[in-house]
Amino acid sequence: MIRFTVQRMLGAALTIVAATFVAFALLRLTPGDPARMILGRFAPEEAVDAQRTRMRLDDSIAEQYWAYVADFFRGDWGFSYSKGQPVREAFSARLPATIELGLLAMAVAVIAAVVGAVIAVRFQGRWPDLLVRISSYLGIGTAPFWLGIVLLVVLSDRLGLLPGPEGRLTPWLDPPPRVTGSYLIDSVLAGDFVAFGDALTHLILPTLTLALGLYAFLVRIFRAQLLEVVREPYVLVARSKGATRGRALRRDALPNSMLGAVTLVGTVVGEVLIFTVLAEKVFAWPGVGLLVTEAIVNQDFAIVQTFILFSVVSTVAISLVVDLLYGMLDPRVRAASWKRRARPGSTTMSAAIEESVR
Amino acid sequence: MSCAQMVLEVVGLRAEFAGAGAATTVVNDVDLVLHQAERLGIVGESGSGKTALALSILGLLDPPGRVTGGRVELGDVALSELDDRSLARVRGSRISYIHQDPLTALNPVRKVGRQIRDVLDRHTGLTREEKRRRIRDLLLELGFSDPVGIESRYPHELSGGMRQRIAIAMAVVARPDVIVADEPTTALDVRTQAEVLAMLDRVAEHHRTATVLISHNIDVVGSFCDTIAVMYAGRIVESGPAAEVISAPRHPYTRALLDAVPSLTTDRSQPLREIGSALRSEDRTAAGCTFRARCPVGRDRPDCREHRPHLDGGSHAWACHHPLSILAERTAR
Repeated sequence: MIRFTVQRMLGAALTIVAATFVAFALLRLTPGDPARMILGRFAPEEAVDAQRTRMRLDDSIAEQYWAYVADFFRGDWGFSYSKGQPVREAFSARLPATIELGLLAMAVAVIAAVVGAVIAVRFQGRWPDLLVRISSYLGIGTAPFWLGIVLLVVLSDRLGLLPGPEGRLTPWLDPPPRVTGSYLIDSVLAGDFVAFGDALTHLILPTLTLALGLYAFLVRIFRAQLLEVVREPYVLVARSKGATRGRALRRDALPNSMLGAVTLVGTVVGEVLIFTVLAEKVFAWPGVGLLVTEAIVNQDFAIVQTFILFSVVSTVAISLVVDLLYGMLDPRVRAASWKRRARPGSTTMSAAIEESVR
Repeated sequence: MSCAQMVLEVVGLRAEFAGAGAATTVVNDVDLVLHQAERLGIVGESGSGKTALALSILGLLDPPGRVTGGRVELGDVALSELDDRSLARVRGSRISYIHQDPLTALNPVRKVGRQIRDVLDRHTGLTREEKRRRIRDLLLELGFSDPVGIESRYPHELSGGMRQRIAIAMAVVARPDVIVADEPTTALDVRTQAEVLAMLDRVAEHHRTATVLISHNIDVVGSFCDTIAVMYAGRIVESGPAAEVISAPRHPYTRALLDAVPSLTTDRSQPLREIGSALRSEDRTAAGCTFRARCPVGRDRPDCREHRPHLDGGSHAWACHHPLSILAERTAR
């Protein structure tokens, strides 16, 4: 386990280093002069030169790279000229909105995918299974921004059931005092249930937009894994002990199939980040995604490269956590490492040998 | 034996597997009777329908397999009439099952103690303490010196023989009337086989549980069972008291099965005896005897080709037009 952990961590570190290269190179390879871009076309040459020196653009590439990496890990992510504030401040203002939306969408997608997979396998080859499969194809085939627009047009504009693209709250409401950054949690903490209800209704459409694609991706994999596990003899044995078909599926097959699926969640995080950019644009959701789309339009590369690094680091970190978690969830992996190390030669092996000799 | 109470009756059971073309009948018109505490052995080679028969009895045959006819009666309960929910109430409590592969028959992510307790949770109203005591007593009886320690193990921490004893514990803990053990020792080495069988024997004896033991090894069945049913291509081709079937087999297939088992006196310079060729799918549906093509006796006789022999006789019955004579058998030995 320790060896595995170290290997995974080394791998994660390498990925992040590679990502810093890409983000760094992206900025240097873009045509044009960043200093000139910031100061504008009519700035005098001396001012541009001074700006260039300030930005250390005259240093060697290696020095620049090193300074860039050092700054990033110190938390100095540069200055956003289009926002007129440090990138770090722009991010920390926007991040909670993205995290709230992303987590909620992932939770909805994972739960829906588990339920969908169980239904599909329970009624394999019959119409509920077909329905789940069709929903998966539709979800994969639907562009999230298009879905978001359709939902907005139908549910908000035509039927007036849900708020339109106005962000996280109705404009005249005050956001709850920031504790966690999640409006849902903060409004409950503040006892402000008007804000809670409002935040919730504002979350519904963006969450659905984001969740559908994820659900569609996950339900196919969960279904396939569950179908494989449900054929395992221990599921049959569970039924022979008195479990109904459905119960054996839920209690014996599902946890075993999820064991394999846990590691997928790491991959999905990257997917969520990409979809968030699109969903936030459609719903004017004031998150990191919206910040980045604005920055791209304004050629504000300090924000773009921070976003790239940020996505890589969070994806890598989450998949690392998930992989390590997997080791703890599966008793076979767990035992192969910690137990034996913790109690060397005591219970597991020697008792097993003793028992089998008897 | 005949005065004991009948616990399981199978009449005309048929099951088939749907395939690309026509369905294959894998259990064909099988009748079985089992009395309290009786041991019935079902023998046959791979593909003879033993496992399908076991699963059909328990109502556990999954698609593409399906029971197409016959009755299964467990005492006063007609199993063949029940839906999955009602069957689930009977399975584990009145009839239980031991799977052939102990390595995959236990849920890898649940502790074995929990997996045994499931049965009691499902079928009994015992208190926690009563359940705990019953499981400990049973594990002790099954030869575990440290039942408490075993309960908190995961399956992968136990050896094959230990896992099969856990499977036996799950099968008997709710004191069922009938255990169906599908090749419970096939995946184990010879010594562990003997141990596991001895455990099964002891536990079944103790609780007066009737047992159906399925095996491809006629010797194993012979030493464990009171009665033997020999299965070929989904049909019972010979049945009777174990001693009689083994000492005086009447069906050529039974003879061949006996010959295929090497013993300590087998001349090891000779190749092991085998049954020529294998079961062909067209033999299942042909008009005559299903064993005809492989039979050393009836190969080309017209009656074997045209008429299917019925299982006839008293307590020792056989389905063969040209049964081996007892006299010939005695001299051959």
